[in-house]
Amino acid sequence: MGYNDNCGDVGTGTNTGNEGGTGGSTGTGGHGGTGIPNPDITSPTQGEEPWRKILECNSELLQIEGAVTWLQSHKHQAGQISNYLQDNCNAQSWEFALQGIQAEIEGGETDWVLQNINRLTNPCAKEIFNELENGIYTQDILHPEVDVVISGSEILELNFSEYVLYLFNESETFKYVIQNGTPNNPNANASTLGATTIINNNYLNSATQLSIARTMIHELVHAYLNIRYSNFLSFPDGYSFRQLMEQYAQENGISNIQSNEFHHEFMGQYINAMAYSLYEWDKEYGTGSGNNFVNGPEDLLGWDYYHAMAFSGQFTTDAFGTITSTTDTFQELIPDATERQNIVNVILNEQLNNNDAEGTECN
Amino acid sequence: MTLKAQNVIRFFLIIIFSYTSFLSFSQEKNISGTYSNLMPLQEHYNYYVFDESGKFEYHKGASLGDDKYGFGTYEIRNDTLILIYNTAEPLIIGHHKSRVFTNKNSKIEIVFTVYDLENNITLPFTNIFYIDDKINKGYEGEKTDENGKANFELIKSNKKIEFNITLLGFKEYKLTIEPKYSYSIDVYLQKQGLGIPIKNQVDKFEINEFNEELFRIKTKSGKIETWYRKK
Repeated sequence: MGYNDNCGDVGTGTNTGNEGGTGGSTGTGGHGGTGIPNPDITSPTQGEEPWRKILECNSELLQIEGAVTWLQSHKHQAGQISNYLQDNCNAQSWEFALQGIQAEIEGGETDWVLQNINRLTNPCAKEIFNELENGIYTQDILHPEVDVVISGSEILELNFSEYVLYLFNESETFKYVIQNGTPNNPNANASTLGATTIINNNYLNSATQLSIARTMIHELVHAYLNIRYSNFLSFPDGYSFRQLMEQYAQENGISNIQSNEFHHEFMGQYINAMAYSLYEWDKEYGTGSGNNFVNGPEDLLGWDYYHAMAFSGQFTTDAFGTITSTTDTFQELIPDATERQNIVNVILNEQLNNNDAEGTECN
Repeated sequence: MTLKAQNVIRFFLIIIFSYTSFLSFSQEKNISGTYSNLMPLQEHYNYYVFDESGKFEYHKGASLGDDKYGFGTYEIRNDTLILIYNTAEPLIIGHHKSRVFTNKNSKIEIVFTVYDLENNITLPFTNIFYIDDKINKGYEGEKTDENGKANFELIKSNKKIEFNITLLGFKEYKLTIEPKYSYSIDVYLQKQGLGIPIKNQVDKFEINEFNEELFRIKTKSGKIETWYRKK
């Protein structure tokens, strides 16, 4: 690597947490390369331009095809990246910067303040993710699920999905990456490996916005459980949380905590939290959008509806939507089989965007 | 036409339809396409991909990737689908390589270097820890540095110690050492979500129905399962 000596810590490491899901990016092509000449990197007269500051941090930038040209033609983003690197020119930050620049060139979006990479190129999905993220760093959320102390005694009130995003945003080591494309498992709606989520394009083309929002929340929980188990040393309560996961696995006869089985069984504890996150999204951006008289879930789709949506992943169905298997958690939380099927019907209605769906189309 | 005559005609139509279905199935020796017994685009998936040359693959899993998978050849003989899982490579799982030495010091040193087993790149930020009830927090742990390295210094003992090595995106690995020696340990982590390959297994299913859109098979428990072709 070619770090400038003035840039602080250097190293050869990679952000391994994002290595799992690199296959699904469906970039729409760069915005650069539009006749702007290649830079003369030795020119002393333009040393203050943002792209030059970025280059000063690491000359590896030159190895990304079209990166310099893109930065020259996107000065606002280049300024943000330059600011981001100004105080953080080290191996970890540069790794994030590279991924972020690459994502932007391919039509994605990088939040350089919150430090999330949104590689979603599907405009509707991109907007939904941004909306889920919007609650972070605001303090006017009703009935928060989680309180986070941000400085001194200042409390940040977040719902659960916001809290998960907050953890990744605050982490200097691991960033959450979301993109659309074809997951390694093309028959599924999404995949999450490490902290990289890929939402299936076919699913985005058929599901309602409400369904897409609940899938994003569901995948965020996978990423959350992944990091809480694998990198517990990064959290003050890391070991006790990890022990809880181990205890749950032992009590439920699950040998692999990193498995689909464990995640979905354990996720039962977050059903209410996920439902509330979905309600808050729906209130602001879904069926409640523009409605100033929403005092609670009952003024919109009703708590039961959001609660039902949070059970995704707790079952399989045949081609006609009849349940063929469920997690033990689903059976414990909803003992009645008819009620379970009704819950599944709600999820499938939104997934298929049929006449019974309450959410709006994602076009 | 009398009711009896109608029933006789219906009976013969059913016989003819069943025979032609059976005949067309008996003559068909290959399947092509992706077939699943689940509604597509759920969190979970379970599907076969067949090609006309007689090969197939199988995947079962959910958001975190495959739980298990298999590759092999298939045959349709009479009314039986035979799946021969014979071509998946056994999976290389996480492993480690240790070097040891001893001396008269009261303490030992353990130096870990952690790699991604797929490409031998060193892995920073890996959490390495062991459980120790004598410590207030219950464990002792370190993160690997930017070169994938972490060091532990311990008092010599005869009690074995189990280390856990974990990193986001990788499968956890555990190893045990005898703390009377000093160690230099290279750990190779396996990516998470790869699943376990099925190999040296033959599955036979009685086929009840087979056409361009689906096939129905009888499972070992006697249940009829329908697998629909992905459009």
